Amino acid sequence: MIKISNLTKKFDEFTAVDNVSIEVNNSSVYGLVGYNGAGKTTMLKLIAGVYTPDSGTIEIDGTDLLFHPEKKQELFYVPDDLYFGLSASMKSMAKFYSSYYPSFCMDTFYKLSDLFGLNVNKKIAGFSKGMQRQAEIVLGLSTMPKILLLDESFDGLDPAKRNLTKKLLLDYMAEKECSIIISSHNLHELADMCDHIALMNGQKIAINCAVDDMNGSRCKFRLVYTENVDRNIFKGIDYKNYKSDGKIVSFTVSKNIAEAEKIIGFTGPVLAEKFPLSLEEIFLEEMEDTDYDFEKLFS
Amino acid sequence: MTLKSSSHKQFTAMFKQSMRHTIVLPVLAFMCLMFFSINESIFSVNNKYYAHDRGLFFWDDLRIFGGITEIANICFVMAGVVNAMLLFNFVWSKKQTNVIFSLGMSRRDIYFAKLLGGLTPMVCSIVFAGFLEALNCFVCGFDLTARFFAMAALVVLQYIAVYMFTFILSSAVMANTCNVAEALIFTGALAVFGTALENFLGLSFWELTHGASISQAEEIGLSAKFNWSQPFNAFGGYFDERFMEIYFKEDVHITFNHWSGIICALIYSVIIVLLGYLGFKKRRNEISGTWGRAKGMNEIISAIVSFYAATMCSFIIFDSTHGNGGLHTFFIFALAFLITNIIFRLIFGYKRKKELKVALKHFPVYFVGFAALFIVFSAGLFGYSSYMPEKNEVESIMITSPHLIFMEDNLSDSSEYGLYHQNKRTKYTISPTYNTINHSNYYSNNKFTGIIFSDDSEIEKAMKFHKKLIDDGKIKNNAPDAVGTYILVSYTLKDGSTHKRYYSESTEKAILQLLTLNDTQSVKNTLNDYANINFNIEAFRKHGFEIPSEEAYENEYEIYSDSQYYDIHDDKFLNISHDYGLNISNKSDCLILNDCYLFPKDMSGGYNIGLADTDLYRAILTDIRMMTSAQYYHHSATDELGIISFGLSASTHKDLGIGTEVPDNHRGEKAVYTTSWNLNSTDIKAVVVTKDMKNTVKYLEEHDLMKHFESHRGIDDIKHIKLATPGELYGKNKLSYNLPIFYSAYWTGEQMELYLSEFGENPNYLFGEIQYEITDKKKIQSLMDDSVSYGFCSNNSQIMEITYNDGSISTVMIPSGSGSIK
Repeated sequence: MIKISNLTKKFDEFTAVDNVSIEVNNSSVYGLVGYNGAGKTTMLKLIAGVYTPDSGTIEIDGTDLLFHPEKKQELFYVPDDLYFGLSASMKSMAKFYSSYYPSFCMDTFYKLSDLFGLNVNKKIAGFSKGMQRQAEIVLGLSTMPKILLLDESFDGLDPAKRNLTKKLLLDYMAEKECSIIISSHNLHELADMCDHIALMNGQKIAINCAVDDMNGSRCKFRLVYTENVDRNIFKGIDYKNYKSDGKIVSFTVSKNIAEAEKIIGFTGPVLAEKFPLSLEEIFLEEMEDTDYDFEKLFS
Repeated sequence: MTLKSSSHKQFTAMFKQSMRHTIVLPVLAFMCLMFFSINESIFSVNNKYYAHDRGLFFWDDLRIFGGITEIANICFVMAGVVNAMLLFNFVWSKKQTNVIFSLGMSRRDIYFAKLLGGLTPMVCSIVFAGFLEALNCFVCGFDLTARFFAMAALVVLQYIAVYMFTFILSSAVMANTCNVAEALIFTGALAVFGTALENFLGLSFWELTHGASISQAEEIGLSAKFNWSQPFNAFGGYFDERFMEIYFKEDVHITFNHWSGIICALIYSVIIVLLGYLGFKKRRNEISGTWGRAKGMNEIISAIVSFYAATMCSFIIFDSTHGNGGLHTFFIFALAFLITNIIFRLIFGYKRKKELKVALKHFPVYFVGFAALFIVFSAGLFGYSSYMPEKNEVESIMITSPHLIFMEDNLSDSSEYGLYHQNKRTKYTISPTYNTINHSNYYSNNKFTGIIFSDDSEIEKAMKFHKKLIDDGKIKNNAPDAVGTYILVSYTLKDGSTHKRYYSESTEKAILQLLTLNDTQSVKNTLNDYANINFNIEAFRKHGFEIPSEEAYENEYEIYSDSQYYDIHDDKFLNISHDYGLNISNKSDCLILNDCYLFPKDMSGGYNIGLADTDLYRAILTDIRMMTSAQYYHHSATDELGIISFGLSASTHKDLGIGTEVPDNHRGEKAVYTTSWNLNSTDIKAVVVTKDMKNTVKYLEEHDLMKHFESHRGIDDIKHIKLATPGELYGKNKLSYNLPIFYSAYWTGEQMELYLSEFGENPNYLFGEIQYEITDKKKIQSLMDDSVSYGFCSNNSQIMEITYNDGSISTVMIPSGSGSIK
């Protein structure tokens, strides 16, 4: 289990990760979602030990990684920017990693390479971007990690390899009871494989909950009135993304939905519709609360 | 397998990987060293002692490339930098840091595994090559003694130390910088820090502390006992000789000094390893591949680079002001530091506006630090300036000065017009190692050796003189009573310790006190030695000349003076001169054996009396020994009779590029036509004969030679006269020194014209600035009556330029207080 408590990382005056606390259980795929620059990669690099936090702790099974870096032998980080030696082949990289990861399994390495159709003797520099990513995932899984950190690891993979990778990761997670933290912009990918999702916004965790709990936890109302209505009539409802087109009003509600329905009932709409929010909509709702008036941007 | 034990495995893996990365250069180094070993062996196949006899001790054959230490050290320095770059370049790449730092290794393990991996192959390579070379030396005839092994260890450890220090320094810098450009620039800056610091301390010590010299920086810098500033050259110049020579010289012992460079490199390496590790441990990997974000490193390097620039500026200021910069120099130092610091931060800074603010914020701290150093050095460095041992502690005092021995000061830069005797002090250097003051110019390199005073009364007199120097304090050379000279005072105490103090400027009163030391027996004894050098047959015999009798000696004597045989014996003559410390060291050394000339005071035309016999030499030396310092330096114009010069040969003129007016074989010629010369020259020896020189006068009278002192010129031959104080000519405003002894000089009209046509300016350019000309015959007569050719020249004395109707010029001096200039 990974426990991250009050983690903060600053780049000079800029705070990249601000007092973040999360827990990732064993046998769990944890999705880290957020805009560019939200702090996802920084977060993963902090966990991997590439960056040193300014404050906070990162524990694996109760062991603080900062003081016990040897615990990272149970962790593998697949970064967004992959690095292989200039003349490195998968085989030489496997040899390299096998020196540093005591659990590295050459048998698994060969099997996985075979599964992905990767030539282990060929120079990785000659691989396509997607193949390089597959190679890194193969190497990562061959280290038999208890914790696997994946940063945008599905980028560049074709749909078939993406599905294969997902299946592999889920199987590995189920088999080895490992924790996988995966960052991605693609919510659809995370929705069908993560059991937990954390939304990072403004360098903080905006939402952190189980995917199952998230579904139906938020909804959008679309109301039609006979006359123009003032938004004050919805006083008492904790709404977001309020939009009004005279007689037609829409907004989203994430808390006390039943109470909101009651208040809406009192306002007397001629038509009231309620839609559950998808993960992507929830993500957009959390992230896009800056109401730009795009029409004015170029005027 | 536990995580702990597997982390050892990881350390080993990284160590091995680092060795593999850096193995090429150690292999190359081994092959190069073995090449020289094999070279020795091949030549020793038919002659077991070939290498032994040629001194090919421990790769000493490397000298064929210009010196064992230089060439090999440069290679090992480069190897250290390259290997450090190979191992630590990963920190400049974000991609690579992702891989390395996410491994289950602590930063300590990463750092030390790489360090060890980079050191081990090269150390093994050198040690193994050293072992094979030791065997080779044994085969070549060297005895495997303790001395042999000590020297071998010294060579091997020297190379290891140089590589180790460079590799560790480069690694520490590279592990803590953002990119390769920063890494290389910062490594370079740190690498020369020792030299810069030594220069700074030397400069501060020399310029600010009374009684100190730049050459003596080693005394506070410990360089004499501990080679601290040159870790890239662990030998530090101590092994300037070939190893072979040291190997055979039983009296040359391998001391702590020899090991100090290696020890120093080791100590620095340990410190740098620790500092490098602390930096690496705290390293923020987000700086990888960026520019100017290695905060701590930037601060250190910006301070160091600014420090260099400020020191260099100070050097320039001190040099151009001849040490008169004082407080100005300090402020220029501070300003140069600030400007460089700002520029450096703007170039290497990440956020430039912020860096500018930081530079200004930190500057007061640096300023106060430098001010404190300035005050410490200026205030006498904790009693260094005022130190004088108790008289009863003193075994002897040695005083070295160009002005201590009559007519022995040979100060001239060249013979041009005789004005150059007022040398700038930059012409002098002090060699504490040999207790000499050296004066070098294009023509010569003179050494002024010290006079040792060991008699109680003489010690007291010398100490009084030293006390005067201390009491006068550090004075500027443009002070009203300042005169320039170099003086070295060296105490040897009864406990065996030595204390040296150096003075480059002093007051007239102090110099007058110095000149009275000529009256001591110790100086007179030195004159005796001087006599022996030139006239003692035994000295010639001792140096390999087969001289069966005095008659033969005289014949040989004649042969050497003949230009046809001159070169054949040149080397041996040089040896004689050198070994006895005679202050002549080039070809003209032998001029003492050449013809003797007599000149009137105006130096216009002389008379060649051929080879002077030993009676004349002895007469002159007897007189010099008997004369007092007052007679030497304070005689009146009427005391001066004429000038005896030894050597005005054609070769001398050719050497000087003056001309060939003197016939090649002029021995038969009695009248000598000179072109230009001055009394103070390294190319001739001249003596101003005064009435006090009874024996010389007697000799000249007996040989009917006194008439040749009479000038053929009268007052009517003089066109005009110009007068100027030394300060007006070349001191004070022109920032050069007024040396306290004057020598007259002469140029012919033809020579003046020749010089003008060749160089486009009057050689007497200094007097060119003096507009006032005296043409009144009465006044001219009175000035001529007071003029002297040689003597003490105070700042109130007048230098007089006499221009004759035929265009020739001579320069003489009118001593301070003379009636004609009152």
